[in-house]
Amino acid sequence: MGDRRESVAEFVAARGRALTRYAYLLCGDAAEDLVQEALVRALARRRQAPEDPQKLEQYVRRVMVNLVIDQSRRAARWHKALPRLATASDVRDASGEVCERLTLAASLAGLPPRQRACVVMHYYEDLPLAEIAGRLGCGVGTVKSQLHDARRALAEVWDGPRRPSGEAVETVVAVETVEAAGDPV
Amino acid sequence: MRDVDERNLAAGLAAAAEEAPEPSLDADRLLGAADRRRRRSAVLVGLAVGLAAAIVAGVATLVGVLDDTEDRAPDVTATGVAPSSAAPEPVQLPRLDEGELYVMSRAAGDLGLGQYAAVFTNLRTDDCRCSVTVFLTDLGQKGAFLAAMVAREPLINSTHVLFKQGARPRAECRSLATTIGNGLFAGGLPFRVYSVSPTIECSTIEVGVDDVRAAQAYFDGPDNRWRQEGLALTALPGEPAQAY
Repeated sequence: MGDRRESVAEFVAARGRALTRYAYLLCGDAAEDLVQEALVRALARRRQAPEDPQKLEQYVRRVMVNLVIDQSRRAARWHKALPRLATASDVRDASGEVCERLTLAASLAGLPPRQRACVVMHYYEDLPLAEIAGRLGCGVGTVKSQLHDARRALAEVWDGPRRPSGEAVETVVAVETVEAAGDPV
Repeated sequence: MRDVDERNLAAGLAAAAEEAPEPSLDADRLLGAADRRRRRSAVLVGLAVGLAAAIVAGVATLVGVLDDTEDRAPDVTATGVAPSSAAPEPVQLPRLDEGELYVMSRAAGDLGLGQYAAVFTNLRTDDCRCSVTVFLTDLGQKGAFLAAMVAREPLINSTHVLFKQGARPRAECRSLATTIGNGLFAGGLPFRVYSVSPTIECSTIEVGVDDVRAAQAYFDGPDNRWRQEGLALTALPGEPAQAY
């Protein structure tokens, strides 16, 4: 038990922040709840100390994604925990013009869970499309489609990363998405 | 239509992630919760295994199923002996929410139609809304099947996945039902046929007819050209299809 506790404490100290950041992108302010739930489920699967921290982290990340994707169908606990963030329509003025752009975190929250998970897995975790498809149990084409739809939705409400002064780092580029040749499958 | 530059998005996500609050994860609290979760699961597994042991006396391999008197196919043990019909009352698992049932069914269905097509017959979400039952022609593979389900969907609670004997693989079942159905609908029989459908475990083809007695006598008699080992034809009262 001592070994197990030490292993878990070490893992949490080393990777807790990274997991929380990942969870934050997936679900916003309920991040710590998401990380805790995923860790509890992972640790419940075996009595012994975790053997491979890297495998444990991969497993926990997968569990978090699955929890978020299933959130719309799951029990009330997750629905209560999720933040309610403004969508673009909430900040439009009477003329219908968008008067305030959202942060990326808030913009992500407006995406359907599956799209949000695809965005985080591909652009933050840097997973290849085939692996994302395997984790979600769908085809690569579906993942591409989800990413495409997500980027277009984000473009409506997010205008890119900003410096601390508020100045835009790069402007949103209005281009058609070009499919990269030779995507790994 | 506008699109987000992918490099911007990656940079934006990295920056947004830095806004995450500092976690306050506690190893002792996590382990305590994990142990409680594991104890709850162990109690449910213990109840199911204990029930199976009571049903199957003297057999080393336990089949983790709950008795369901509506199923026509008996649960076959490793020795090929059907268990006694005088089974004790089944133990009810806790009800699951629809999301969990959906995830389990989806995982089982994907595996059954893919990697395990050779042994998969069917699956159902049980009426209690507490379990999913998978029908396999080879129950020796249920462990591997269950492991594959959990690998696919880590959230699955395996104690809520049950296994029962299937009579034949799904593809074979459908082919058989089609062949028999085509033959029965061709006519020339001492009764009218309205419907043909296999039971969920595909041990029986149920035939909706106008004259149940005549049909069953035919199916039980020497003139039944669809008679075969391990397949029963059962006549049921049927009705003509309604035109829309």
